[in-house]
Amino acid sequence: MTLRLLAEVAWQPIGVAGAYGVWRLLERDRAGRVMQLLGTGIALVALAWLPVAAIDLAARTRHDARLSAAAVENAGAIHSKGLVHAIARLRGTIPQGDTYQLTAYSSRVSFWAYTSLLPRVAVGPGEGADWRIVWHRHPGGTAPAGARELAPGVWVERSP
Amino acid sequence: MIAHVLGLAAANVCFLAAGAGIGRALGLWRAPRELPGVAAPAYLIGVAAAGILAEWALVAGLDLARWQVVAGCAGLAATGVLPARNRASVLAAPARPTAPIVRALQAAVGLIVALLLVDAVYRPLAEWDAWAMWTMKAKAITLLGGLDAGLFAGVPYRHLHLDYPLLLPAVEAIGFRFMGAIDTQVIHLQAALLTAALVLSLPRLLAGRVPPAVAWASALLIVVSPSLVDQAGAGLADAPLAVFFAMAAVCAWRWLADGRREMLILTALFAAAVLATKREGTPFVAALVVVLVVAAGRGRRLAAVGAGVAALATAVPWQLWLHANGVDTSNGEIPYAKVIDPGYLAGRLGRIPTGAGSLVWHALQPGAWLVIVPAAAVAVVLAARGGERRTAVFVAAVACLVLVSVVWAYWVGRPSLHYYLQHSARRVVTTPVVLLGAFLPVLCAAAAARRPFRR
Repeated sequence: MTLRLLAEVAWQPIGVAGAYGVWRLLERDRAGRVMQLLGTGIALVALAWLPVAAIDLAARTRHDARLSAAAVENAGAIHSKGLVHAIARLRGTIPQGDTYQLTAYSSRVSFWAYTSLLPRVAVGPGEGADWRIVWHRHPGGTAPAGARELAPGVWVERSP
Repeated sequence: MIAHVLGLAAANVCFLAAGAGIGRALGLWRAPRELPGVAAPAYLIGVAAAGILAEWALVAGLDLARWQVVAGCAGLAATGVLPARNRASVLAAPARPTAPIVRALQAAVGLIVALLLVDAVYRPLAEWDAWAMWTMKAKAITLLGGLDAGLFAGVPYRHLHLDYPLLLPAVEAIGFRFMGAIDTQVIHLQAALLTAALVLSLPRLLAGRVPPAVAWASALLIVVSPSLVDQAGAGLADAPLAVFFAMAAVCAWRWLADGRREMLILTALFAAAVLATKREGTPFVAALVVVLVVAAGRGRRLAAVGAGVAALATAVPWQLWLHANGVDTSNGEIPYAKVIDPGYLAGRLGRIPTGAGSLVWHALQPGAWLVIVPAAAVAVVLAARGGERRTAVFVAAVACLVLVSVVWAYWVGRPSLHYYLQHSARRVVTTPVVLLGAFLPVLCAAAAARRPFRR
């Protein structure tokens, strides 16, 4: 953090010099005082913020480049424990191209399942899904008839 | 990863070729040596045209296979071999030799653009709307072989804004096709390229109208803005929407200033891309067309109306598909029957000051947009007080109407205002703020009374 701050502060004279260069150029081109003031102001702010943006981008790239393949694949599911494991089990159970009907305790779970289970397509009630998935917040509870618990709280049943 | 980047690059070369062809037909460049100078605007033209075409292709039942994309882009590129109507180039040649400070500003923009693109390549798909909606639809198009009605009109997916147009998912699906894989990291490069192309296009589009130093300084101000840095490679549609809208507005202003019909055609193209990117783009385009029609004057009003109608017409195929497949276009958020119901609106008047205040606050946040809005406001006031009033009024009217359309949506929308402000206020101001950023050099010129309009 200190190094970053030092770099940003050390850059400022260069930014000011750049803005002064804009001032001089606009003066030379007889752009008028208003243009000179506005143009120099814009250049000053943009150049002053340049190292902040550059360091932010470089730091984020460095962080993201070090993420594991699993962390990248499941970036959207990081706040839902067990989601990744359950989806992996569902992918292994439901063949690609089959349809499923999902009843889940939260929209986040539903949305994550919809995107992660592709090319398996969800269908609504009464549309003859090949599979039925019931997703409880907590493990156990009343099991749907004929279903097996694939992951804690995740029940799946092959339609007859 | 490198193979995926190369695959995506190949797709974007197709877009560039398409845009270069259209650009040549419209007189953006004549000789091959002029092409590098207009590559950025040509690329945006290509993405806009290919994206709209891709949406139509999906509606027609195609699956955006590589050969279809290559054939489509080749067809668009072929327009470049048609004899051009005008010998004079639509864009003025940039001044040479360039002053050292301008070169330094160009290098600074180039540095941030490079960092932005590298960052996008590594960015994981973590934004809710990106993984749940935009990239999810692109994955579905790729994996299900096109527009599968089971998903795109399916009841379980109704909360995923199924009525939203498909330009971004279609363009991302093309990227997946060319990668030969669903790489949810590298795909972020696609939207980041659009932002990069915008900041590189603006100084070229405004060449000869504003001092190059101010044009490049403004481009730098836009590209270092923290909010844009965050959104450019996030996989969301707000930044692409802002890019296309800024291009549409700048081309519209160039048409008003120069009277070159080619610029009006580009206005219609980019407005169509706005309509094909996000549903919120419809009121934005309506605002632009209304201002354009008023500003055009009696002699050119019909042409401006024609451009608006042409842009709207490009959205018809998607609307027909939605209707044919019974997709609920209201999505429950906006009760369309009540948007002008006085009783309903009167009971919700309290949402206006809070919503408008929050949007203005977000737009003025120095930590998000630096000084883009204050600088534009000062330039507008100075221009209105004695400079080039017409430019100031044009820009201010478009930006204000865009903001009013968002406030209106907050006013009539069913979700709580708190929900709107928490989830979308930060992003919906992107379009008006980027618009003001794009016009900053023009507004400075207007404030300095340089009379950029030729009457």
